[in-house]
Amino acid sequence: MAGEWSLVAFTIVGQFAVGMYLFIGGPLFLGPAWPGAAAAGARLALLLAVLACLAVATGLSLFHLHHPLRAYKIFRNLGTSWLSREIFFELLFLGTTGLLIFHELKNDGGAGLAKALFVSGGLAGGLFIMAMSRLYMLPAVAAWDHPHTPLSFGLTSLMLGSLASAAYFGLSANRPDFYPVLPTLALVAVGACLVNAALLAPGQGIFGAKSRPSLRPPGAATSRLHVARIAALSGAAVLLVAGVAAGEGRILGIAGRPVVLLASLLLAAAGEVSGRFLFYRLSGRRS
Amino acid sequence: MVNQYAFFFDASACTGCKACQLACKDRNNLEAGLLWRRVYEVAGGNWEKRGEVWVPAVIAYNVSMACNHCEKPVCAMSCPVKAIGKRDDGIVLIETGRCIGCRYCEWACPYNAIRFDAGTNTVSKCHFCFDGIDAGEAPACVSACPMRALDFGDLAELRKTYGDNRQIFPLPEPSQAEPALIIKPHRDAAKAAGSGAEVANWEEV
Repeated sequence: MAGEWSLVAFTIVGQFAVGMYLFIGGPLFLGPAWPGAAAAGARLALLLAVLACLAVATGLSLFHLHHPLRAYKIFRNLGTSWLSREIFFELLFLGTTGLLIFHELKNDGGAGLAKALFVSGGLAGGLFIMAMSRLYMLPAVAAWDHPHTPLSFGLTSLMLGSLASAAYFGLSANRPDFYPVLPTLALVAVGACLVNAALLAPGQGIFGAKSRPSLRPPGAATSRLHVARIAALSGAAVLLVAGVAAGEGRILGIAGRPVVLLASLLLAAAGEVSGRFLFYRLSGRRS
Repeated sequence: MVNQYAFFFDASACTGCKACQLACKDRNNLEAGLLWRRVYEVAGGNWEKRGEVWVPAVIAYNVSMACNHCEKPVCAMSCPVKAIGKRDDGIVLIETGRCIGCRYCEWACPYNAIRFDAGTNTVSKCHFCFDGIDAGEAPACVSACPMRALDFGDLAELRKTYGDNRQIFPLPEPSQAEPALIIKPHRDAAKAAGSGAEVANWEEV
């Protein structure tokens, strides 16, 4: 199981980067104007954070290769390999984010170009998540060839992105008008992740993938990881409910929602890490 | 001229002696723990009532399996660096000098035929003893089988001789990769899937 830690880290950090880009960047680049000079700084900070996440994800992904120095050849099979496509779209997303940073630093206006670049980056990020999901939907691995895989990957991005967005805008000195909607959106996303885990998680969910005749050893579907995932996501949901219910008031003596939202984000991320380790344990591959 | 080399396996004749497995290891000098051909022991069964008597209805047979040099090699299609290719005669080969060791092909192969070689830090698999084939010899596993349960040849010719069955429990659906494989099933195989039979020697394969 530990052998797949780099893939766990790569998928979750990559999905977090896309979610953050869409849910924090969307309002900043495409939403209504937000209090003056703060917006420019916020855009740059977001883009740098996304770039850092993608750089870390790319670096971590090299750890699961046994010949990382040959990794530059990874685009040779874009025609049929989803792994080639996944890395292609990831680097396209990274490149678009880099261009946006350059555009922000040049600071010569051009809001239309910024919007176009942002939308292009969002599309590349979406394709990155789609390729990542498709990569694992292998008929040879019954546990992965199931709707849980794309739902799980997409919802991780949605959940972590919306939680980061709620926490980020909550911590900002000048909160935008749409801020009150964000914790509720995050709560819906956490709920969707919980339902997906409870119903569809391979080997554990009520409607999880059924085993098929196979020459692959049975995966180690440990229930502890599943329980840890459900518990962490439930904890994140409880914190979010408390945050939404308390509004701007104090929660358990803690000043303000952002701290609670940050704690919820950490719990949700921990839940997804547990779920992802479970996912890889089901592959039935010898270490 | 051979268009697609293929294996034939007679499950009704195989005794599970594993001579094929050992011959492959020996010829290819495979390290401990690395198997390109494996013999799966399928076991199961129950008690059946015949008249007033309960009798054991045992399911027990073996499946010898290596790379099936598929007509639609999903391992090659999934490889991001095109390290896996198919010769004109259908033999699927791995070019280890290109392999980046991502091991994605191991997941993609429905026959679990691709194995990680810790010696080279790349994946490896049965290469159909292609150098021997080119010299007019038979693959080591075929030569070693004392029961003549293994055969090889052009897929079209093997089909004429042995028919076109490619399925036996616990093999996956052949449509996944169109394996160049023909199987004569054991008499127990038809009832294996429905009776809870399973591979009994996972730790060996």
